[in-house]
Amino acid sequence: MPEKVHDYHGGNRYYQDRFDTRRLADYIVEKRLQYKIDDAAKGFIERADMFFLATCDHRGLPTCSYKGGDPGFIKVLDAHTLAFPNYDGNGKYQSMGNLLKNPNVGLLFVDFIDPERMRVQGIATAHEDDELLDQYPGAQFMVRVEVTEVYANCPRYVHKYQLVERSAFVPRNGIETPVPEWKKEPERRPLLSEYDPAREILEANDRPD
Amino acid sequence: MKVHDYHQGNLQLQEKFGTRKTADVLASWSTDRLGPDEREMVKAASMFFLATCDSRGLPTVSYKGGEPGFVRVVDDGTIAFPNYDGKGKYQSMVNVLQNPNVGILFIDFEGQLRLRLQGEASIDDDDPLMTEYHEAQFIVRVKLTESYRNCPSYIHKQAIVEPSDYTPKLGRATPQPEWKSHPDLQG
Repeated sequence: MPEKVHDYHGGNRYYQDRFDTRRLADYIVEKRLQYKIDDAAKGFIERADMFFLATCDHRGLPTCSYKGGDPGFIKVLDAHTLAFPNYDGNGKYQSMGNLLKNPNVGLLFVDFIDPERMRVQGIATAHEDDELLDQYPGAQFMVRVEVTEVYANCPRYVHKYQLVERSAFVPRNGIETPVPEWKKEPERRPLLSEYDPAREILEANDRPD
Repeated sequence: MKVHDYHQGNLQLQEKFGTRKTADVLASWSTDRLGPDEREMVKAASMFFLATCDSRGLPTVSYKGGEPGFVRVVDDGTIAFPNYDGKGKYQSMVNVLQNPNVGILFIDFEGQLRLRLQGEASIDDDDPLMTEYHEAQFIVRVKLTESYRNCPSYIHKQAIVEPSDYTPKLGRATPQPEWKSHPDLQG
């Protein structure tokens, strides 16, 4: 059985007793924690256009990263599995590199339009020849997460926002993905990966008509 | 120890996708200080995302919201924020007792900006900053080890409609969330 964040350890109990929240914390495990993705959670995940990903390397350094896409970019494959694409980023492979050292992940979904929060814990693996890649133009590989814990968070501190405009940089079928400004800077261009499609676009732009 | 001291997992993917040069330059730009723009971004923030990891290696990410200014820049290398009443599990805060390393993400959906911080957190119930926060349970200070910007290209533009009414403010009783009146939780 994989370890769970809801198997409270001594530190959790110390603060739960210090602030008298042990009853509440136990109630959450008993009544609110799920070990699978139910229909409501599936709906919430598949509507999301962003989530926040915590990973931690083998040295104990956690990082928090933002992942954005079009609604539906995270797929619920079954009650115990979700998948999302890795798009071109800054090339550090911080989160994805961490997965090679420690596959445990924490995901946070926040809906700022209709304030709601959901947390997912699981075990992640990267797949470069995933059959799902056909459905994601511009994706480098797919990450599949075997879900161990699903729980809602109280949305009371979430500020309400409205969507102004979805990012134009999310890769979409039939549309040339724009090149982010930083890749155009003269000192950065020589650094770009030989696999980066931005190189070709920038070179085409350089050529006189 | 820094996340920009790339480990074999990072390097393996950097080699595979040909991004080693970019990754090395970005690592050289990371600093343990907040510059003027970064300080302004922290002071203006009404939310951030906090990654912690327990002694078993299980990471979690949590949302922290407050009034703009709820995260203080104590000095160029230290920030502080309050812990407000939550759901009583003390997940992130307790992780910090076991492993003080934290990863923090600030995101500004209106200005489409991202700032990432790494650091070591400590918790103090008697922090002198306690008097400056209404209804804080304790104060978390983070001594920064790394500060760096992220490209904002994938951020969806969002405009604020209404700040949360539940963030503690001086001079009024903070409204209580509905779930706390559930009969199972009384007694």
